[in-house]
Amino acid sequence: MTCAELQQVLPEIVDRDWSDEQEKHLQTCSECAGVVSDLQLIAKESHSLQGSEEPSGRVWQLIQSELNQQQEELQSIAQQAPLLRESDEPSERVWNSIASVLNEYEADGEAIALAARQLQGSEEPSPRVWNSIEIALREEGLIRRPPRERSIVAAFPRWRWQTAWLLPVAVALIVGVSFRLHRDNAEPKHFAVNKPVVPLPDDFVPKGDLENADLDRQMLDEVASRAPGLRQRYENDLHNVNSYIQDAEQSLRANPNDEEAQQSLINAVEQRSMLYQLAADHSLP
Amino acid sequence: MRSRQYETKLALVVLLITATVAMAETRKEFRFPVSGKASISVTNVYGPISVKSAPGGQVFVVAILHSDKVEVDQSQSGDRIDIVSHLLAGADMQSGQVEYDIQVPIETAVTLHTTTGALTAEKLQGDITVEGAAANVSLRDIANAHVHVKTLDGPITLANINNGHVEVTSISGNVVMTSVNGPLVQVNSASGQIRYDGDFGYAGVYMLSSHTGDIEATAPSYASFDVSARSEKGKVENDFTLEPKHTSFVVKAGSAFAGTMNKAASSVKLFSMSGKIHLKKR
Repeated sequence: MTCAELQQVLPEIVDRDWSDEQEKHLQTCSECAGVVSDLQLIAKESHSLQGSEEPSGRVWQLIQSELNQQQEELQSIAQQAPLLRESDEPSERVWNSIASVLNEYEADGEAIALAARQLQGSEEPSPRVWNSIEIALREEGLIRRPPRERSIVAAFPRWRWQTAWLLPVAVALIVGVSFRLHRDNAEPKHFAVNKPVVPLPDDFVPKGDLENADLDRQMLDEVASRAPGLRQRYENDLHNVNSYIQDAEQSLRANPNDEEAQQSLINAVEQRSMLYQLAADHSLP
Repeated sequence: MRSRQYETKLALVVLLITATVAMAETRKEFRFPVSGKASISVTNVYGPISVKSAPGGQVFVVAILHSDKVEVDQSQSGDRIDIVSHLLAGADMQSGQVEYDIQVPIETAVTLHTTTGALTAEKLQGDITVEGAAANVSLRDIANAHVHVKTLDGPITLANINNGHVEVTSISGNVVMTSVNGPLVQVNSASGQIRYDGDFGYAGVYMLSSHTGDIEATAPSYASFDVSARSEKGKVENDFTLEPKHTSFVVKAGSAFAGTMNKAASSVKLFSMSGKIHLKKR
Protein backbone atom coordinates (compact mmCIF):
# COMPACT_ATOMS: atom_id res chain seq x y z
CA MET A 1 0.00 0.00 0.00
CA THR A 2 1.30 3.37 -0.95
CA CYS A 3 0.97 6.62 0.95
CA ALA A 4 -1.52 7.94 -1.62
CA GLU A 5 -3.75 4.97 -1.24
CA LEU A 6 -3.70 5.27 2.52
CA GLN A 7 -4.37 9.01 2.58
CA GLN A 8 -7.26 8.52 0.22
CA VAL A 9 -9.16 6.35 2.70
CA LEU A 10 -7.74 7.97 5.76
CA PRO A 11 -10.80 10.10 6.73
CA GLU A 12 -12.93 6.98 6.69
CA ILE A 13 -10.69 4.80 8.84
CA VAL A 14 -9.26 7.32 11.21
CA ASP A 15 -11.65 6.27 13.97
CA ARG A 16 -11.84 2.54 13.06
CA ASP A 17 -9.51 -0.42 13.20
CA TRP A 18 -6.81 -0.61 10.68
CA SER A 19 -6.20 -3.46 8.28
CA ASP A 20 -2.94 -5.38 8.43
CA GLU A 21 -1.72 -3.77 5.28
CA GLN A 22 -2.61 -0.33 6.54
CA GLU A 23 -1.00 -0.99 9.89
CA LYS A 24 2.09 -2.36 8.27
CA HIS A 25 2.32 0.84 6.15
CA LEU A 26 1.91 3.04 9.16
CA GLN A 27 4.72 1.23 10.87
CA THR A 28 6.99 1.76 7.95
CA CYS A 29 5.81 5.27 6.90
CA SER A 30 6.37 7.94 9.51
CA GLU A 31 4.69 10.59 7.47
CA CYS A 32 1.42 8.80 7.16
CA ALA A 33 1.65 7.90 10.82
CA GLY A 34 2.00 11.55 11.70
CA VAL A 35 -1.01 12.45 9.62
CA VAL A 36 -3.04 9.73 11.24
CA SER A 37 -2.10 10.89 14.71
CA ASP A 38 -3.04 14.48 13.85
CA LEU A 39 -6.32 13.39 12.52
CA GLN A 40 -7.04 11.34 15.55
CA LEU A 41 -6.17 14.26 17.77
CA ILE A 42 -8.47 16.63 15.81
CA ALA A 43 -11.29 14.17 15.96
CA LYS A 44 -10.87 13.77 19.67
CA GLU A 45 -10.74 17.50 20.26
CA SER A 46 -13.73 18.17 18.09
CA HIS A 47 -15.91 15.94 20.17
CA SER A 48 -14.94 17.67 23.36
CA LEU A 49 -15.30 21.07 21.70
CA GLN A 50 -18.92 20.51 20.70
CA GLY A 51 -19.86 19.74 24.16
CA SER A 52 -17.94 22.64 25.61
CA GLU A 53 -19.41 25.43 23.26
CA GLU A 54 -23.08 24.90 24.01
CA PRO A 55 -23.89 27.61 26.60
CA SER A 56 -25.06 26.33 29.80
CA GLY A 57 -28.47 27.18 31.22
CA ARG A 58 -26.90 29.68 33.47
CA VAL A 59 -25.51 31.54 30.49
CA TRP A 60 -28.89 31.58 28.84
CA GLN A 61 -30.37 32.90 32.00
CA LEU A 62 -27.78 35.57 32.19
CA ILE A 63 -28.45 36.53 28.62
CA GLN A 64 -32.18 36.52 29.25
CA SER A 65 -31.84 38.66 32.30
CA GLU A 66 -29.61 41.04 30.39
CA LEU A 67 -32.18 41.33 27.63
CA ASN A 68 -34.96 41.89 30.14
CA GLN A 69 -32.97 44.61 31.78
CA GLN A 70 -32.35 46.35 28.51
CA GLN A 71 -36.02 46.05 27.65
CA GLU A 72 -36.95 47.69 30.93
CA GLU A 73 -34.52 50.46 30.33
CA LEU A 74 -35.96 51.11 26.91
CA GLN A 75 -39.46 51.22 28.34
CA SER A 76 -38.45 53.62 31.03
CA ILE A 77 -36.75 55.78 28.43
CA ALA A 78 -39.93 55.75 26.31
CA GLN A 79 -41.99 56.72 29.34
CA GLN A 80 -39.64 59.45 30.28
CA ALA A 81 -39.23 60.77 26.74
CA PRO A 82 -42.29 63.09 26.80
CA LEU A 83 -41.22 64.42 30.13
CA LEU A 84 -37.75 64.63 28.84
CA ARG A 85 -38.94 66.79 25.87
CA GLU A 86 -40.52 69.33 28.16
CA SER A 87 -37.68 69.26 30.50
CA ASP A 88 -35.34 69.68 27.58
CA GLU A 89 -36.89 73.04 26.53
CA PRO A 90 -33.96 75.34 26.61
CA SER A 91 -33.95 77.90 29.31
CA GLU A 92 -33.99 81.57 28.58
CA ARG A 93 -30.29 81.73 29.23
CA VAL A 94 -29.71 79.16 26.55
CA TRP A 95 -31.86 81.08 24.08
CA ASN A 96 -30.01 84.24 24.89
CA SER A 97 -26.73 82.58 24.28
CA ILE A 98 -28.00 81.20 20.98
CA ALA A 99 -29.20 84.66 20.02
CA SER A 100 -25.89 86.20 20.89
CA VAL A 101 -24.11 83.63 18.78
CA LEU A 102 -26.41 84.36 15.89
CA ASN A 103 -25.80 88.05 16.30
CA GLU A 104 -22.09 87.43 16.21
CA TYR A 105 -22.48 85.43 13.03
CA GLU A 106 -24.56 88.24 11.54
CA ALA A 107 -22.00 90.84 12.48
CA ASP A 108 -19.29 88.72 11.02
CA GLY A 109 -21.28 88.40 7.83
CA GLU A 110 -21.72 92.15 7.57
CA ALA A 111 -18.05 92.70 8.20
CA ILE A 112 -17.21 90.24 5.51
CA ALA A 113 -19.58 91.93 3.10
CA LEU A 114 -18.09 95.31 3.88
CA ALA A 115 -14.62 94.00 3.44
CA ALA A 116 -15.70 92.45 0.15
CA ARG A 117 -16.99 95.75 -1.13
CA GLN A 118 -13.85 97.51 -0.13
CA LEU A 119 -11.88 94.75 -1.62
CA GLN A 120 -13.76 95.14 -4.89
CA GLY A 121 -12.96 98.80 -4.95
CA SER A 122 -9.39 98.25 -4.05
CA GLU A 123 -8.93 95.56 -6.60
CA GLU A 124 -10.59 97.39 -9.47
CA PRO A 125 -7.80 98.06 -11.94
CA SER A 126 -7.03 101.68 -12.60
CA PRO A 127 -7.88 103.23 -15.96
CA ARG A 128 -4.20 103.26 -16.88
CA VAL A 129 -4.15 99.52 -16.49
CA TRP A 130 -7.21 99.14 -18.71
CA ASN A 131 -5.70 101.35 -21.35
CA SER A 132 -2.52 99.38 -21.42
CA ILE A 133 -4.53 96.19 -21.70
CA GLU A 134 -6.48 97.63 -24.59
CA ILE A 135 -3.35 98.73 -26.40
CA ALA A 136 -1.91 95.32 -26.01
CA LEU A 137 -5.01 93.65 -27.33
CA ARG A 138 -5.09 95.95 -30.34
CA GLU A 139 -1.51 95.25 -31.12
CA GLU A 140 -2.40 91.60 -31.02
CA GLY A 141 -5.27 92.28 -33.41
CA LEU A 142 -7.83 90.87 -31.06
CA ILE A 143 -9.95 94.04 -30.94
CA ARG A 144 -10.60 96.74 -33.51
CA ARG A 145 -11.96 100.27 -33.30
CA PRO A 146 -15.77 100.46 -33.94
CA PRO A 147 -16.85 102.27 -37.09
CA ARG A 148 -17.75 105.94 -36.61
CA GLU A 149 -21.57 106.55 -36.26
CA ARG A 150 -23.01 108.96 -38.77
CA SER A 151 -25.45 111.59 -37.41
CA ILE A 152 -28.92 111.88 -38.76
CA VAL A 153 -28.08 115.20 -40.24
CA ALA A 154 -25.20 113.79 -42.13
CA ALA A 155 -27.25 110.83 -43.27
CA PHE A 156 -29.71 112.90 -45.21
CA PRO A 157 -28.64 114.32 -48.54
CA ARG A 158 -28.75 118.02 -48.96
CA TRP A 159 -31.78 118.05 -51.23
CA ARG A 160 -33.86 116.25 -48.66
CA TRP A 161 -33.18 118.91 -46.04
CA GLN A 162 -34.41 121.56 -48.41
CA THR A 163 -37.87 119.96 -48.49
CA ALA A 164 -37.99 118.50 -44.95
CA TRP A 165 -39.76 121.58 -43.60
CA LEU A 166 -42.84 120.43 -45.45
CA LEU A 167 -43.31 117.54 -43.03
CA PRO A 168 -44.25 119.47 -39.88
CA VAL A 169 -46.38 121.80 -41.93
CA ALA A 170 -48.29 118.84 -43.35
CA VAL A 171 -48.76 117.38 -39.89
CA ALA A 172 -50.11 120.69 -38.59
CA LEU A 173 -52.55 120.90 -41.48
CA ILE A 174 -53.82 117.40 -40.90
CA VAL A 175 -54.29 118.02 -37.18
CA GLY A 176 -56.09 121.27 -37.82
CA VAL A 177 -58.47 119.79 -40.36
CA SER A 178 -59.21 116.83 -38.11
CA PHE A 179 -59.93 119.11 -35.20
CA ARG A 180 -62.22 121.22 -37.30
CA LEU A 181 -64.12 118.20 -38.57
CA HIS A 182 -64.52 116.82 -35.06
CA ARG A 183 -65.81 120.11 -33.74
CA ASP A 184 -68.37 120.38 -36.48
CA ASN A 185 -69.65 116.90 -35.74
CA ALA A 186 -69.84 117.59 -32.00
CA GLU A 187 -71.96 120.71 -32.34
CA PRO A 188 -75.59 120.02 -31.63
CA LYS A 189 -77.79 120.23 -34.60
CA HIS A 190 -80.62 122.66 -34.39
CA PHE A 191 -84.03 121.23 -34.83
CA ALA A 192 -85.75 122.33 -37.95
CA VAL A 193 -88.77 124.46 -37.24
CA ASN A 194 -90.85 122.77 -39.89
CA LYS A 195 -90.83 119.01 -39.71
CA PRO A 196 -92.34 116.83 -42.41
CA VAL A 197 -95.84 115.79 -41.46
CA VAL A 198 -96.30 112.05 -41.30
CA PRO A 199 -99.94 111.00 -41.25
CA LEU A 200 -100.84 108.57 -38.53
CA PRO A 201 -102.32 105.21 -39.41
CA ASP A 202 -105.85 104.50 -38.29
CA ASP A 203 -104.72 101.97 -35.72
CA PHE A 204 -102.06 104.23 -34.28
CA VAL A 205 -103.74 103.93 -30.90
CA PRO A 206 -105.79 100.76 -30.56
CA LYS A 207 -109.39 101.58 -29.86
CA GLY A 208 -109.59 99.00 -27.16
CA ASP A 209 -107.10 100.94 -25.15
CA LEU A 210 -109.00 104.18 -25.46
CA GLU A 211 -112.70 103.50 -25.35
CA ASN A 212 -114.61 100.40 -24.59
CA ALA A 213 -118.26 100.92 -23.72
CA ASP A 214 -118.71 97.40 -22.40
CA LEU A 215 -115.70 97.70 -20.18
CA ASP A 216 -116.87 101.05 -18.91
CA ARG A 217 -120.28 99.63 -18.08
CA GLN A 218 -118.76 96.73 -16.22
CA MET A 219 -116.60 99.06 -14.21
CA LEU A 220 -119.51 101.29 -13.26
CA ASP A 221 -121.61 98.30 -12.28
CA GLU A 222 -118.83 97.06 -10.08
CA VAL A 223 -118.55 100.43 -8.38
CA ALA A 224 -122.30 100.57 -7.92
CA SER A 225 -122.35 97.14 -6.29
CA ARG A 226 -119.77 98.19 -3.77
CA ALA A 227 -120.55 101.87 -3.28
CA PRO A 228 -123.87 102.89 -4.89
CA GLY A 229 -123.39 106.51 -3.87
CA LEU A 230 -120.23 106.76 -5.94
CA ARG A 231 -121.55 105.44 -9.21
CA GLN A 232 -122.68 108.80 -10.51
CA ARG A 233 -119.38 110.39 -9.57
CA TYR A 234 -117.45 107.72 -11.43
CA GLU A 235 -119.71 108.03 -14.40
CA ASN A 236 -119.18 111.79 -14.65
CA ASP A 237 -115.43 111.42 -14.39
CA LEU A 238 -115.44 108.64 -16.97
CA HIS A 239 -117.28 110.91 -19.34
CA ASN A 240 -114.69 113.63 -18.74
CA VAL A 241 -111.85 111.27 -19.41
CA ASN A 242 -113.30 109.81 -22.58
CA SER A 243 -113.89 113.27 -24.04
CA TYR A 244 -110.31 114.14 -23.08
CA ILE A 245 -109.06 111.12 -24.98
CA GLN A 246 -111.14 111.96 -28.01
CA ASP A 247 -109.90 115.55 -28.14
CA ALA A 248 -106.29 114.47 -27.62
CA GLU A 249 -106.50 111.88 -30.34
CA GLN A 250 -108.05 114.38 -32.70
CA SER A 251 -105.32 116.89 -31.96
CA LEU A 252 -102.62 114.30 -32.50
CA ARG A 253 -104.04 113.24 -35.86
CA ALA A 254 -104.01 116.85 -36.96
CA ASN A 255 -100.44 117.34 -35.76
CA PRO A 256 -98.67 113.99 -35.49
CA ASN A 257 -95.32 115.56 -34.72
CA ASP A 258 -96.67 117.86 -32.06
CA GLU A 259 -95.03 116.88 -28.80
CA GLU A 260 -97.69 118.57 -26.71
CA ALA A 261 -100.42 116.68 -28.56
CA GLN A 262 -98.59 113.43 -27.96
CA GLN A 263 -98.24 114.24 -24.29
CA SER A 264 -101.91 115.15 -24.06
CA LEU A 265 -102.97 111.77 -25.35
CA ILE A 266 -100.64 110.09 -22.89
CA ASN A 267 -102.11 112.16 -20.08
CA ALA A 268 -105.65 111.33 -21.12
CA VAL A 269 -104.99 107.63 -21.26
CA GLU A 270 -103.24 107.86 -17.92
CA GLN A 271 -106.33 109.42 -16.41
CA ARG A 272 -108.55 106.67 -17.72
CA SER A 273 -106.16 104.14 -16.31
CA MET A 274 -106.25 105.90 -12.95
CA LEU A 275 -110.02 105.87 -12.97
CA TYR A 276 -110.11 102.13 -13.48
CA GLN A 277 -107.46 101.64 -10.86
CA LEU A 278 -109.38 103.59 -8.24
CA ALA A 279 -112.53 101.70 -9.14
CA ALA A 280 -110.78 98.44 -8.44
CA ASP A 281 -109.01 99.79 -5.38
CA HIS A 282 -109.52 97.96 -2.13
CA SER A 283 -110.33 101.27 -0.51
CA LEU A 284 -113.82 100.92 -1.92
CA PRO A 285 -116.24 99.31 0.47
CA MET B 1 -142.56 129.15 31.18
CA ARG B 2 -143.63 126.75 28.50
CA SER B 3 -140.81 127.95 26.25
CA ARG B 4 -138.32 127.39 29.06
CA GLN B 5 -139.55 123.88 29.54
CA TYR B 6 -139.27 123.32 25.84
CA GLU B 7 -135.73 124.59 25.76
CA THR B 8 -134.80 122.41 28.70
CA LYS B 9 -136.22 119.35 27.04
CA LEU B 10 -134.41 120.17 23.83
CA ALA B 11 -131.11 120.55 25.64
CA LEU B 12 -131.61 117.25 27.37
CA VAL B 13 -132.34 115.51 24.07
CA VAL B 14 -129.22 117.00 22.46
CA LEU B 15 -127.17 115.98 25.44
CA LEU B 16 -128.55 112.50 25.30
CA ILE B 17 -127.80 112.15 21.60
CA THR B 18 -124.23 113.41 22.04
CA ALA B 19 -123.67 111.05 24.89
CA THR B 20 -125.03 108.19 22.83
CA VAL B 21 -122.74 109.00 19.96
CA ALA B 22 -119.75 109.38 22.25
CA MET B 23 -120.49 106.07 23.85
CA ALA B 24 -120.72 104.42 20.46
CA GLU B 25 -117.30 105.69 19.47
CA THR B 26 -114.32 103.60 20.37
CA ARG B 27 -110.83 104.92 20.72
CA LYS B 28 -107.99 102.56 20.01
CA GLU B 29 -104.28 103.18 20.21
CA PHE B 30 -101.51 101.22 18.55
CA ARG B 31 -97.78 101.62 18.99
CA PHE B 32 -95.32 100.08 16.58
CA PRO B 33 -91.62 100.32 17.42
CA VAL B 34 -89.50 100.78 14.31
CA SER B 35 -85.83 101.18 13.54
CA GLY B 36 -84.46 102.80 10.43
CA LYS B 37 -86.77 103.90 7.61
CA ALA B 38 -90.26 102.63 8.23
CA SER B 39 -93.25 102.47 5.93
CA ILE B 40 -96.91 102.65 6.80
CA SER B 41 -99.93 101.94 4.65
CA VAL B 42 -103.41 102.99 5.76
CA THR B 43 -106.58 101.96 3.96
CA ASN B 44 -109.65 103.69 5.26
CA VAL B 45 -112.89 103.60 3.29
CA TYR B 46 -114.65 106.33 5.21
CA GLY B 47 -113.04 108.93 7.39
CA PRO B 48 -110.06 111.22 7.57
CA ILE B 49 -106.43 110.27 7.94
CA SER B 50 -103.89 112.67 9.40
CA VAL B 51 -100.19 111.90 9.41
CA LYS B 52 -97.44 114.00 10.91
CA SER B 53 -93.94 113.47 12.10
CA ALA B 54 -92.92 113.04 15.70
CA PRO B 55 -89.67 112.18 17.41
CA GLY B 56 -89.04 108.74 18.79
CA GLY B 57 -88.55 105.47 17.04
CA GLN B 58 -92.16 104.41 16.89
CA VAL B 59 -95.33 104.77 14.87
CA PHE B 60 -98.22 105.85 17.05
CA VAL B 61 -101.74 105.36 15.70
CA VAL B 62 -104.92 106.63 17.28
CA ALA B 63 -108.08 105.32 15.65
CA ILE B 64 -111.57 106.51 16.61
CA LEU B 65 -114.19 104.07 15.41
CA HIS B 66 -117.63 105.52 15.02
CA SER B 67 -119.45 102.29 15.56
CA ASP B 68 -119.02 98.62 16.14
CA LYS B 69 -119.68 97.99 12.47
CA VAL B 70 -116.07 98.68 11.63
CA GLU B 71 -112.88 97.27 13.02
CA VAL B 72 -109.22 98.08 12.57
CA ASP B 73 -106.92 95.37 11.30
CA GLN B 74 -103.32 96.17 12.01
CA SER B 75 -100.10 94.25 11.35
CA GLN B 76 -96.38 94.86 11.49
CA SER B 77 -93.62 93.09 9.60
CA GLY B 78 -90.30 94.54 10.59
CA ASP B 79 -90.52 98.22 9.81
CA ARG B 80 -93.56 97.85 7.55
CA ILE B 81 -96.92 98.62 9.11
CA ASP B 82 -100.27 97.92 7.56
CA ILE B 83 -103.56 99.35 8.85
CA VAL B 84 -106.90 98.57 7.25
CA SER B 85 -110.39 99.66 8.26
CA HIS B 86 -112.47 96.55 7.93
CA LEU B 87 -116.16 97.20 7.35
CA LEU B 88 -118.56 94.71 8.86
CA ALA B 89 -122.03 93.85 7.66
CA GLY B 90 -124.41 96.76 7.75
CA ALA B 91 -121.75 99.47 7.73
CA ASP B 92 -122.42 102.65 5.81
CA MET B 93 -120.69 105.97 5.31
CA GLN B 94 -121.49 107.08 8.86
CA SER B 95 -121.21 103.93 10.87
CA GLY B 96 -118.19 102.72 8.92
CA GLN B 97 -116.19 105.83 9.55
CA VAL B 98 -112.81 105.72 11.30
CA GLU B 99 -110.73 108.75 12.12
CA TYR B 100 -106.99 108.19 12.10
CA ASP B 101 -104.39 110.36 13.76
CA ILE B 102 -100.93 108.98 13.09
CA GLN B 103 -97.48 110.07 14.23
CA VAL B 104 -94.46 108.65 12.46
CA PRO B 105 -90.69 109.19 12.28
CA ILE B 106 -89.86 111.94 9.85
CA GLU B 107 -88.46 109.72 7.08
CA THR B 108 -91.30 107.24 7.09
CA ALA B 109 -92.80 106.33 3.73
CA VAL B 110 -96.55 106.93 3.88
CA THR B 111 -99.26 105.41 1.67
CA LEU B 112 -102.87 106.45 2.18
CA HIS B 113 -105.93 104.99 0.48
CA THR B 114 -109.45 106.23 1.01
CA THR B 115 -112.75 106.67 -0.74
CA THR B 116 -113.96 109.76 1.03
CA GLY B 117 -112.36 111.73 3.77
CA ALA B 118 -109.62 114.24 4.28
CA LEU B 119 -106.07 113.05 3.77
CA THR B 120 -103.51 115.21 5.51
CA ALA B 121 -99.77 114.79 5.79
CA GLU B 122 -97.26 117.30 7.06
CA LYS B 123 -93.68 117.70 8.23
CA LEU B 124 -92.40 114.60 6.54
CA GLN B 125 -89.34 113.65 4.50
CA GLY B 126 -90.35 110.24 3.33
CA ASP B 127 -92.16 109.26 0.13
CA ILE B 128 -95.88 109.95 0.16
CA THR B 129 -98.52 108.21 -1.95
CA VAL B 130 -102.11 109.34 -1.61
CA GLU B 131 -105.06 107.89 -3.50
CA GLY B 132 -108.69 108.67 -3.04
CA ALA B 133 -111.76 108.89 -5.20
CA ALA B 134 -113.29 111.87 -3.47
CA ALA B 135 -110.57 112.56 -0.99
CA ASN B 136 -109.66 116.06 0.05
CA VAL B 137 -105.87 115.99 -0.02
CA SER B 138 -103.62 118.41 1.85
CA LEU B 139 -99.85 118.00 1.95
CA ARG B 140 -97.55 120.58 3.50
CA ASP B 141 -94.01 121.01 4.77
CA ILE B 142 -92.67 118.05 2.83
CA ALA B 143 -89.03 117.87 1.77
CA ASN B 144 -86.75 115.58 -0.20
CA ALA B 145 -89.52 113.18 -1.07
CA HIS B 146 -91.47 111.62 -3.90
CA VAL B 147 -95.06 112.78 -3.72
CA HIS B 148 -97.75 110.95 -5.70
CA VAL B 149 -101.37 112.06 -5.53
CA LYS B 150 -104.31 110.54 -7.38
CA THR B 151 -107.90 111.64 -6.97
CA LEU B 152 -111.00 111.61 -9.07
CA ASP B 153 -112.58 114.85 -8.00
CA GLY B 154 -111.16 115.58 -4.58
CA PRO B 155 -109.35 118.91 -4.30
CA ILE B 156 -105.61 118.80 -3.82
CA THR B 157 -103.56 121.34 -1.88
CA LEU B 158 -99.77 121.22 -1.82
CA ALA B 159 -97.84 123.77 0.22
CA ASN B 160 -94.18 124.26 1.03
CA ILE B 161 -92.83 121.20 -0.69
CA ASN B 162 -89.09 121.49 -1.24
CA ASN B 163 -86.85 119.38 -3.42
CA GLY B 164 -89.79 117.18 -4.21
CA HIS B 165 -90.54 114.82 -7.04
CA VAL B 166 -94.23 115.64 -7.36
CA GLU B 167 -96.75 113.87 -9.58
CA VAL B 168 -100.43 114.78 -9.32
CA THR B 169 -103.23 113.26 -11.35
CA SER B 170 -106.82 114.34 -10.87
CA ILE B 171 -109.75 114.14 -13.22
CA SER B 172 -111.89 116.94 -11.94
CA GLY B 173 -110.29 117.98 -8.69
CA ASN B 174 -108.74 121.41 -8.44
CA VAL B 175 -105.02 121.46 -7.73
CA VAL B 176 -103.50 124.33 -5.76
CA MET B 177 -99.73 124.50 -5.25
CA THR B 178 -97.95 127.07 -3.10
CA SER B 179 -94.15 127.11 -2.81
CA VAL B 180 -93.71 123.79 -4.48
CA ASN B 181 -90.37 123.12 -6.12
CA GLY B 182 -88.13 120.24 -6.98
CA PRO B 183 -86.58 118.32 -9.86
CA LEU B 184 -90.03 117.41 -11.19
CA VAL B 185 -93.48 118.88 -10.65
CA GLN B 186 -96.06 117.31 -12.92
CA VAL B 187 -99.79 117.94 -12.73
CA ASN B 188 -102.27 116.23 -15.00
CA SER B 189 -105.88 117.34 -14.72
CA ALA B 190 -108.85 116.79 -16.99
CA SER B 191 -111.41 119.38 -15.95
CA GLY B 192 -109.95 120.58 -12.68
CA GLN B 193 -108.19 123.89 -12.37
CA ILE B 194 -104.49 124.12 -11.73
CA ARG B 195 -103.03 126.93 -9.63
CA TYR B 196 -99.32 127.36 -9.04
CA ASP B 197 -97.74 130.05 -6.88
CA GLY B 198 -93.99 129.80 -6.57
CA ASP B 199 -90.66 130.61 -8.17
CA PHE B 200 -90.18 127.35 -10.08
CA GLY B 201 -87.10 126.55 -8.04
CA TYR B 202 -83.84 125.75 -9.74
CA ALA B 203 -83.10 123.16 -12.42
CA GLY B 204 -86.56 121.63 -12.22
CA VAL B 205 -89.09 120.51 -14.80
CA TYR B 206 -92.62 121.79 -14.30
CA MET B 207 -95.35 120.31 -16.49
CA LEU B 208 -98.92 121.52 -15.89
CA SER B 209 -101.48 120.15 -18.31
CA SER B 210 -105.25 119.95 -18.46
CA HIS B 211 -108.08 119.13 -20.77
CA THR B 212 -110.62 121.81 -20.04
CA GLY B 213 -109.38 123.17 -16.73
CA ASP B 214 -107.76 126.59 -16.50
CA ILE B 215 -104.09 126.87 -15.63
CA GLU B 216 -102.77 129.84 -13.66
CA ALA B 217 -99.11 130.13 -12.72
CA THR B 218 -97.88 133.02 -10.56
CA ALA B 219 -94.17 133.68 -10.18
CA PRO B 220 -91.97 136.54 -8.93
CA SER B 221 -89.96 138.70 -11.30
CA TYR B 222 -86.72 137.08 -10.16
CA ALA B 223 -87.91 133.62 -11.15
CA SER B 224 -85.63 131.88 -13.64
CA PHE B 225 -87.39 129.67 -16.15
CA ASP B 226 -87.79 128.61 -19.74
CA VAL B 227 -91.51 128.53 -20.52
CA SER B 228 -93.66 127.09 -23.29
CA ALA B 229 -97.40 127.62 -23.00
CA ARG B 230 -100.19 126.68 -25.35
CA SER B 231 -103.93 126.20 -25.34
CA GLU B 232 -105.57 124.53 -28.35
CA LYS B 233 -108.90 126.27 -28.01
CA GLY B 234 -108.52 128.58 -25.02
CA LYS B 235 -106.89 131.93 -24.37
CA VAL B 236 -103.29 132.40 -23.31
CA GLU B 237 -101.95 135.36 -21.31
CA ASN B 238 -98.46 136.26 -20.20
CA ASP B 239 -97.39 139.03 -17.79
CA PHE B 240 -93.63 138.50 -18.23
CA THR B 241 -91.35 140.02 -20.80
CA LEU B 242 -89.72 136.91 -22.09
CA GLU B 243 -86.52 136.57 -24.06
CA PRO B 244 -87.11 134.72 -27.31
CA LYS B 245 -85.55 131.30 -27.65
CA HIS B 246 -84.61 129.06 -30.50
CA THR B 247 -87.25 126.36 -30.47
CA SER B 248 -89.52 124.33 -32.68
CA PHE B 249 -92.43 125.45 -30.52
CA VAL B 250 -94.80 127.43 -32.66
CA VAL B 251 -95.59 130.79 -31.11
CA LYS B 252 -99.03 132.10 -31.87
CA ALA B 253 -100.40 135.25 -30.34
CA GLY B 254 -103.27 134.55 -28.01
CA SER B 255 -102.81 130.79 -28.23
CA ALA B 256 -99.19 130.08 -27.48
CA PHE B 257 -96.05 131.78 -26.23
CA ALA B 258 -92.51 130.71 -25.40
CA GLY B 259 -89.39 132.32 -24.05
CA THR B 260 -86.96 132.56 -21.21
CA MET B 261 -86.79 134.58 -18.05
CA ASN B 262 -83.51 135.48 -16.36
CA LYS B 263 -81.16 132.47 -16.68
CA ALA B 264 -83.83 129.92 -17.60
CA ALA B 265 -82.88 127.67 -14.74
CA SER B 266 -86.06 125.61 -14.79
CA SER B 267 -88.25 124.31 -17.60
CA VAL B 268 -91.97 125.17 -17.45
CA LYS B 269 -94.56 123.72 -19.79
CA LEU B 270 -98.18 124.83 -19.60
CA PHE B 271 -100.60 123.08 -21.88
CA SER B 272 -104.35 122.84 -22.09
CA MET B 273 -106.69 121.64 -24.78
CA SER B 274 -109.42 124.13 -24.17
CA GLY B 275 -108.70 125.74 -20.84
CA LYS B 276 -107.32 129.21 -20.27
CA ILE B 277 -103.63 129.69 -19.44
CA HIS B 278 -102.30 132.68 -17.53
CA LEU B 279 -98.68 133.23 -16.52
CA LYS B 280 -98.89 135.96 -13.87
CA LYS B 281 -96.16 138.06 -12.36
CA ARG B 282 -96.36 138.43 -8.59
